[in-house]
Amino acid sequence: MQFWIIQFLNSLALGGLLFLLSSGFSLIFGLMRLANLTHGAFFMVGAYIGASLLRQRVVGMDLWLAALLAGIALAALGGLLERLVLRRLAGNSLGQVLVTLGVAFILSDACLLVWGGDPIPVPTPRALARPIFFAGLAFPTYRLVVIVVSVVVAVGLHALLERTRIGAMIRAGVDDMPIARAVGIRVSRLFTAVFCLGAGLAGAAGVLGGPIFSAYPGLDADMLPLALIVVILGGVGSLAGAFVGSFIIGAIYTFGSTLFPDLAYFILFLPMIVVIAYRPEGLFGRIAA
Amino acid sequence: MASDALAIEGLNAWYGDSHVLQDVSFRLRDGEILALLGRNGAGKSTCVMSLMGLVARRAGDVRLFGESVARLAPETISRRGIGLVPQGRRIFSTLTVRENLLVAKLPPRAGRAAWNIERIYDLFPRLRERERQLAGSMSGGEQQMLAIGRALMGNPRVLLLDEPSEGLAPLIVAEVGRTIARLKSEGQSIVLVEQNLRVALDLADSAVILTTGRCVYAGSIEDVRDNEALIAQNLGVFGGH
Ligand SMILES: Nc1ncnc2c1ncn2[C@@H]1O[C@H](COP(=O)(O)OP(=O)(O)OP(=O)(O)O)[C@@H](O)[C@H]1O
Ligand SMILES: [Mg+2]
Repeated sequence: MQFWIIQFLNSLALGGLLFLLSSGFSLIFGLMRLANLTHGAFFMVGAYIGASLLRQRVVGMDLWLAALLAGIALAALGGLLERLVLRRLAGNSLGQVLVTLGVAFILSDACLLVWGGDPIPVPTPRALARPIFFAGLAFPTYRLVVIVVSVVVAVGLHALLERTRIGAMIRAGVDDMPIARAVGIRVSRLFTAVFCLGAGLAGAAGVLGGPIFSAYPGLDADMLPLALIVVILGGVGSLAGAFVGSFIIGAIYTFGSTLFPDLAYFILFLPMIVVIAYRPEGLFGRIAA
Repeated sequence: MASDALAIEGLNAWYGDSHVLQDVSFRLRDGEILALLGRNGAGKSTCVMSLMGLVARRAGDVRLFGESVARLAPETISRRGIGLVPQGRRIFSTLTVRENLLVAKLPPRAGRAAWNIERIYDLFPRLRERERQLAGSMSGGEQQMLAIGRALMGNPRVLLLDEPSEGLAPLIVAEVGRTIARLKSEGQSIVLVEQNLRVALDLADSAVILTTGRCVYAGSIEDVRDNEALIAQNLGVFGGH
């Protein structure tokens, strides 16, 4: 029983982190038709920044403050990347793929240079380090909190997208970009804003994932495929799709790698192949991936 | 001339290598309706989309009340005062009716009553009833009203209407016609692309006829009405006659 509870919460926590990562990825893809392959690197850089801030006691031991600062740093980095580089590649899908992948490699090497090759653990906030005991079973507190945080972010993003004028403008841009411009929507500003938001969320997610994964070389390459699968499964540009897809993939990955470690990747990519074959727009999407 | 709402000079447009619009020139006087006519594929929509800045490869000059907008981005052209009701309506189908109007709201212009959502609902009461509905779920006629309302929310100085009666039932065509007449009576300058010749002849003050991307006629609407040869040669069917 205890084993299943731990696995279940692990899968939900991974799902929550995947949502923080893939919601931005999905919005960027939906609005800008841009598969941002630096997204995994944003997550990793966030994790390293968080680890450093906490180890140097810059933010005391406050993981949340570290996540906020890393989020802001990654939002700024993402904004620069969008304004200075990606902007020039509008409409050039191959160029975008190559450049975002190239920047991902650069960031990954830069991390290796700055932080070295050994994993850097990120301490769990002391208040959350002890499990909660209930009905004779132990529930890992930090994972519960990560789940709650991801749900809160999901609700916030949903409100932003569905309840504000800016959100409606973003959806209009996803729906019909040329006409959105023709009615006066400054789509290029929206691009930058959405890119910053997505990068910031990825960076903050890296910090929040720190106590679970640590910061280590290759974290980016571990996370990016998961985000890709989530978005293909859930549907490009769909927040609901990213949410549901994240928890599905979180569960498949967690249970797949504990129960059938040899088949973990097979089990992971299977739903993606099924979706691409039978429902290329994803569970909630409108555009074929 | 400052009294020209729109002055188009030597407008050219390309899709890839195909030269779809060739040296088109015409003027729209303030407060008037200009009918832009021509057969299927003549280049009417290309002309309208070029004015809006939505055709990537284009050349020539477009002046809006004397000010050149030819090289601006679509969102800037829209903010300077050209409003578009595109062919096929292209409302934001995943947004609600109200959101479609809200996202298109631009600041009012000096000397003209500003459009707002309430005034659009007064113009098209059906939209008020469907306010919370997803725009894509409405009938073609309702979508057309929404597309017009959406363009008006930007308080355009010139309104481009690309085949607003296409594919609509006769009753709805008549309603759209009345709306256009009403807008004109309020001083709105309009470029009207229309296949339905009767609608065009009824509403317009002047006409431009395109044939394979070239301007073959630019002048008063009366001369078009009386010139059966011109109609037969360049507009083919006697639409609406
Ligand atoms: N996006 C495009 N790419 C390539 N060619 C195009 C494109 N849009 C239109 N064309 C071509 O350009 C020419 C002019 O098309 P346009 O849509 O402007 O005609 P139109 O007068 O609006 O016709 P209709 O009355 O059918 O709407 C046609 O030959 C058409 O095939
Ligand atoms: Mg057309």
